Amino acid sequence: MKELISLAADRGIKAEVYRVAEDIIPVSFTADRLKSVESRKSLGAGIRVVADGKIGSTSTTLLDEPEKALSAALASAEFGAAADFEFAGKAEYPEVLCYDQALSDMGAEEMVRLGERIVEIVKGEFPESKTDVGMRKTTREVSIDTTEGFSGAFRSTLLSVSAHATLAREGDMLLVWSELTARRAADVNVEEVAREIVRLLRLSGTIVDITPGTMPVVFTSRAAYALMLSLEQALNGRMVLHGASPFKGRLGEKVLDEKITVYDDPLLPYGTNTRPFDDEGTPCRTKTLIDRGAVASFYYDRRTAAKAGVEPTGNAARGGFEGQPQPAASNLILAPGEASLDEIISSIDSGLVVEQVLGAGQGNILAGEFSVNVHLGFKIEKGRIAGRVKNVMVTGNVFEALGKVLALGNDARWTPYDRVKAPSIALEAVSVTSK
Amino acid sequence: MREILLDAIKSQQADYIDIRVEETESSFVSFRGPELDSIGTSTSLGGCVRAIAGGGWGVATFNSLADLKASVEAAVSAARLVGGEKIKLAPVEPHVGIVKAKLAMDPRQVPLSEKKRIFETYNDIIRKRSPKVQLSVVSYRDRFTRKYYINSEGTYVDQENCQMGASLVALGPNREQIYEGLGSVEDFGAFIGKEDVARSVADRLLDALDAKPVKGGIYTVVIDPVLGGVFAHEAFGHLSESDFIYENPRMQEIMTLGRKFGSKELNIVDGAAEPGNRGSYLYDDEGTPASRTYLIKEGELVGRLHSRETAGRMGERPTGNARAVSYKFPPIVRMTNTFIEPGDVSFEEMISDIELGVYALRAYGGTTAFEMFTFSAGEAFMIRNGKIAERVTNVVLSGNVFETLKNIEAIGNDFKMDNGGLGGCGKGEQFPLPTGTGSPHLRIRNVVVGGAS
Repeated sequence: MKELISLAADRGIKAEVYRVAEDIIPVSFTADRLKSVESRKSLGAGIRVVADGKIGSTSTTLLDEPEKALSAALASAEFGAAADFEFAGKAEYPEVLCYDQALSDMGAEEMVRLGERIVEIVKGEFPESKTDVGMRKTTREVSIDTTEGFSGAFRSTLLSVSAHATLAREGDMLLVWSELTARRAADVNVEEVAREIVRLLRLSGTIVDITPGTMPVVFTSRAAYALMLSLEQALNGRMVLHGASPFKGRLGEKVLDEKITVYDDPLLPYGTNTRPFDDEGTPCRTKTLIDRGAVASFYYDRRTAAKAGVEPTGNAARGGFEGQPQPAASNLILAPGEASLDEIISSIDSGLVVEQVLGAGQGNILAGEFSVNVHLGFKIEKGRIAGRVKNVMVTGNVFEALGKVLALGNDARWTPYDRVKAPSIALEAVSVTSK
Repeated sequence: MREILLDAIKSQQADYIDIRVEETESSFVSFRGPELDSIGTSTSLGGCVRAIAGGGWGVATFNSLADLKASVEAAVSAARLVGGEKIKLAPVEPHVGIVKAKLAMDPRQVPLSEKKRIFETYNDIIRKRSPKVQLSVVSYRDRFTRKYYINSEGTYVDQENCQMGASLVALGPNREQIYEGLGSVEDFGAFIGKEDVARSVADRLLDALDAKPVKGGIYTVVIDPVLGGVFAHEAFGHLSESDFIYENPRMQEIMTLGRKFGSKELNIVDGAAEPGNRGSYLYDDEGTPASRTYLIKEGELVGRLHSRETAGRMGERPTGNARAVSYKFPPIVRMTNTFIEPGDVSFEEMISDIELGVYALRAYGGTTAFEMFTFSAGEAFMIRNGKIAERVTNVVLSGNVFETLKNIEAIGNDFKMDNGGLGGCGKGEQFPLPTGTGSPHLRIRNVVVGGAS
């Protein structure tokens, strides 16, 4: 597809080719048993052109037909939007750690053993439980070339493991999950995944009632992403540009509790979304987005940045070669606090711990609204876990709720939503509804 | 293509092999505020090989036909690695099926410039309706697919499918959001002349600007056909997917055929066989002919959704519900068009004796985990003294599906299918799969509505 660049250059057309090759090995266990092993190989390219000042785009898996792809892109450029930005030019990009040979070499056999280990540990503690394990190892190679002189490529590796254990008791179906994502083999600790499931299953034995009302609520690091989704949207430069973000025009203004500091850190060694340049070839850099409660900056792709009159921040994401670049966070990191989760719980007289939610991101997250089913949650009484609650919802507005933060945990981790690394968040007042 | 696939399938020895190759052509256009956000076309070719050797599934996907034989080999060796107890697929008589898409107006024949003009009109209507409309987002996408399917038992299917969808969104100054979906599987004409829909999106937004969040609590709730369809799909439909049932003794116990789930008036159906909806087709992604399956009939559980594997394991008949979101994935048990059949209660009767309740319409989305479900209404009103009263926001309904099914008090006579929008169903990593949903208005008592207390 590099040929497309020279074909375009010969005709005086600006072009950008984003090529991605992926080699994915999914391994899945259902109800304690190995169910399937897959090998997914994909290769494709997204192409953008600027002809007569207008943008056109196409995507294809037929990489040996650059002429055809170029004409498809040109055909759409005829009706395209005015190009008010440039494709990436020649640039130095940082060296980052996102590839691990040992993880790349990990085969399906080894993954099967890791999955068996999780099943074995959970089964050992709770013989009547059933565990599903989904594992997926991705080796990816991204390359970007433009007629403006950018040429770059990098490889990355990522293993994600998620385990769901179910335990049926009289009149009660309990589902507990845990997961890990790692970019290198050394960070793959499946025992931890299994032990977390065991810990939560043990805690879940006693069921208690909770009186509805407004109370302190702790979103553990496993559930914190439910709150981070709204921040991610509000900090998106495109939402700001279009006036859809509540943070528009509020740079420097304190909008959240001063305990809240949020970074976008694409350079974090072995972070789940670490990369040297973004999906348009803009070199990546680390930015503070919220500084002690005040809006510090927003993140942009090239087109949005040009419209907003700012520099692109290296935050273009395509979501695969078929997608169009859009601003997206890389590794969105909520700076941790100092207290352990146990210390946070013991500081609360009466409240709720939320471990797993159902329905995160399904309401109007841009407005900050959250109203989620507490899929796994525990009542706090006099600083201790009193038991598990059922049929409970927590409702509120993220921007208001993060205005009064009791504490942040020292337990930051990658959340199920793998762009976000966050600690446990204890909020002063959240509405709890129950049946 | 048939010869190429046949040759590849014969290149390896296994208990069972199938290959699915998909060619797609799609086009898209989207507007965001005054700007054309994106416009273009794309093409792809890819395939998925599955193999059974003993007790395991091996799967390999590819993008180039040059890798076909290597992928068959990879799938077979992965299957050998899995091993275990032998998989028996429920029998399906080998057959050959050729299906051409029937299109009243083919989106591939509509120039990109024309698509741009149509959706630009709707976008302009929304954003220019009032200065209070902060942002309009209008997107359209179509996808024409030709799938070739072959298996080692002698079945061959060559099937076309066309999906077209659009979404119209208006955002208010405080992030209030109103959404409407349009869609068709057979006629681009369904997107022409929809100025009134665009106006209604903007007008409903203006109406919603002063609405207050609902007060949390337990209410009698009336849901519209769109949300009713989402309920049928999210809350009940997912539990009818047999891959989930056969692995799970507790679910088997709950989902015992013949068990009473609701009143005599309650009928829930899933089926791809009827043409014209988002989830319609003649053959599923393992070549099984589509069907129409009653899940609940007169309040009783009577059926469930199967792939050949789940049907084989449970000793039931395959229903043609094995679907893959694209060539990048193997098929799994999925819904197609899921709907609640109409009853005989009019909307007026339904609300007439509700002193205090919530009328919830349209859906932002929904999720389930076992018997628990939660879904968010796109729009909602309070019901006071038998009448629709003020608009409210942030209505999220949550509950236990079995209790909720029993709590359905009235089923409307005003059935509607919903085939609109760009979204779809997600299961595991396969998203978005086009599905149709439908329902009449439903009245449900004792529903937990999240909100400030």
